[in-house]
Amino acid sequence: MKNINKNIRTASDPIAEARKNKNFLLYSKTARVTVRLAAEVYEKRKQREWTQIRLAKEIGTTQKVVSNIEGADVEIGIGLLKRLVDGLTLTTDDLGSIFESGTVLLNFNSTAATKNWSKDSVVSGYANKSANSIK
Amino acid sequence: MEIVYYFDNDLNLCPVKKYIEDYLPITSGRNLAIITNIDEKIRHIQENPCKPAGFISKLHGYNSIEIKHRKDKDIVIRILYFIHGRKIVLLNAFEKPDNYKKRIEKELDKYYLLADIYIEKFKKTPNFYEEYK
Repeated sequence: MKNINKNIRTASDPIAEARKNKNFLLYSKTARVTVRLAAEVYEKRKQREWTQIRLAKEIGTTQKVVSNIEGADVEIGIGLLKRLVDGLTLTTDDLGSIFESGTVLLNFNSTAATKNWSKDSVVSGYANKSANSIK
Repeated sequence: MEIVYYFDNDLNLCPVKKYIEDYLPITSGRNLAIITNIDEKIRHIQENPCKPAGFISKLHGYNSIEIKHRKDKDIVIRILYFIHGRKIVLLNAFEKPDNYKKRIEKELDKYYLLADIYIEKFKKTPNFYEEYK
């Protein structure tokens, strides 16, 4: 306790209390991805000097949805995520930092580039690796 | 950067801590989602203190910065903070309806003015805070 005021007598930290809930980690991970995606979308849109309306047009949605994504107020579906990836040209690095699981993607990306693999062979390589790891 | 709750000596409480406590005990996934989302936004600011984001706004005419989280279709939670040295100081929190009238707008201004008062008080007594864990 860094607080040096002896008069302070308040309850324990509410976040620490919430952390005791068995589902906290699950919800926290989801929130982290939502917040990171929000920050990434905002940054990429600003880099392009696009308005939210312009981005909405590019990815076939409404300004309200873009606002909710950037506000980290909504969990988006895979279809919209795909359109965001295409519309903002998000890289595997970007996705890796959002999902904290880019290692496999990045490994395959660099391997594919080195060996000049086609997209299909990368996908089949990933499937084989996954199958092997299951065994 | 360290995250701390501003402690108000007159009220004998931390306003943001008091606001978050209203969601405890967690009886629904919705409350847990609100708490974890707010927590992640605060932690994002801790990791990227100078980086703008869609859920952060610098307030015109006031010294605090606000974190926004949509609670309902029409209600947004606002958490006001400021950066003091190596500390992110959480000052105050309130709920703001999306569509509000002039009378409510004046009431909401009070929260921002209050946050400015808290900033001045904190600068005078920078040891009045509690750790955010």
